[in-house]
Amino acid sequence: MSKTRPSKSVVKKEAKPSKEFNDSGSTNPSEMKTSEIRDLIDFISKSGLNEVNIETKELKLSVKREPDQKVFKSTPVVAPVATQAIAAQPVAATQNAPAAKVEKAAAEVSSGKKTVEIKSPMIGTFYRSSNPDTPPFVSVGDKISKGQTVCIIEAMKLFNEIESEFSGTIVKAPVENATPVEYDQVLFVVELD
Amino acid sequence: MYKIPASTLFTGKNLVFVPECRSTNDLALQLCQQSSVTEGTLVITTNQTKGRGQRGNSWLSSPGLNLTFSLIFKPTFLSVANQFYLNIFTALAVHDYLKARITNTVAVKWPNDILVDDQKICGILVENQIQGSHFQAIIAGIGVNINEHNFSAPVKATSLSLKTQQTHDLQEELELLLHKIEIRYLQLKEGKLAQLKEDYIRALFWRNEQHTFAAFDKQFQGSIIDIDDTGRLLVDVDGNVRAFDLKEIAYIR
Repeated sequence: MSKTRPSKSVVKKEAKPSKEFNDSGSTNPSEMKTSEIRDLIDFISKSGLNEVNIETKELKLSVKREPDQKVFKSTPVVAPVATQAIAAQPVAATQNAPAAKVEKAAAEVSSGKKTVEIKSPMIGTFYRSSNPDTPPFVSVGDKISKGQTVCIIEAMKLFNEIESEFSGTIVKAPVENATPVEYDQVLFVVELD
Repeated sequence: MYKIPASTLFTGKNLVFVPECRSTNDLALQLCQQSSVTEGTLVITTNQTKGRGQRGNSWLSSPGLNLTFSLIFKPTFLSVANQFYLNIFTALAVHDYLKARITNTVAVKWPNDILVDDQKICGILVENQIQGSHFQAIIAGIGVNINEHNFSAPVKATSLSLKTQQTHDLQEELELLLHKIEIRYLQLKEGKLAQLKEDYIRALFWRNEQHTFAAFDKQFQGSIIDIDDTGRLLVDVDGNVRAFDLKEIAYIR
């Protein structure tokens, strides 16, 4: 996976209703993995194409490049305009950024959109990917849907996939990979759709 | 090929058999994500090529010789705070199954390895899906050595067949094991936590025996007496009870 994003990419992932989905509404309707989507974006970014739309029966993906916009901000964690934080964050910046201080209150939002926190339901060890060789489930800027796995918390050999209760965009991911988390600690801040 | 078990009420009634797969837990996880799976769904293979143990570890099993499967349960009744009971019910069930099959010493090595005569016979990997403070589904991956005879040298492992000197029918073993798992799961569902914990403590490897442990770069003598509510191991060290997390303590001798 490429560590840099040469230009701004806007990713839209739309779930289409299907009768296969279960009653709890907790499943991730997309068969496509985050890693595959990322690979696709990397591919498109190198291809010179400005816009790509892909539609299967499972999902609709539209990737649009706006080549003139500069994306490497010096203050990546809280972008001055919230919309610029969406999807524009280079992966490298979020992966290597030092863990930001965990904030108790809902994140400050300049766009007026409501944010919510995904908190740890237990004491354990926080993992951003399913195993050491795979990319993170989510990064800052990613669109997530309700029921989508955002991280794993391991406690006493039990591996807990934490699913989002919300649909929206990850605006903060303050916890570093493979570090201990406390009960109720904020794992992600999500800006609601 | 496996048949739907006659020994259970719901466990394994929805049976997904694949001749070969990387990991039954991975397959079960996909099922959970893609469709509404019924409680007790069994995913089983005769040749698991990339069995997973703890994060990064692998579980090796020769084709056609052993039981390698995953079960999907939906313990929406269980609070996340009581999650250690997922280790308890699965480990105890395998323990019960082996006790029913052999007269050798069977013990649960905290938190969820099963030993026969101090040798590992079964590994369990439980992966859960949580939303908020509720379990959506749990996937219990279980590998039991049945007819395996060859273990690579440094591993202290054994199989049912090595203990009984017989070759066992995998379908028959599966049916008994699923039956035992269902009994323990129903106990959990009925809220019989005290009973489960009591049986688990009684089955613990090295319980009430003086042994050497290592923690925080120091070796010490102690005896396992209990676990606390979060599943931490409670060890009596010279009359003081100390609690240990999984990564904090090692069994020495």
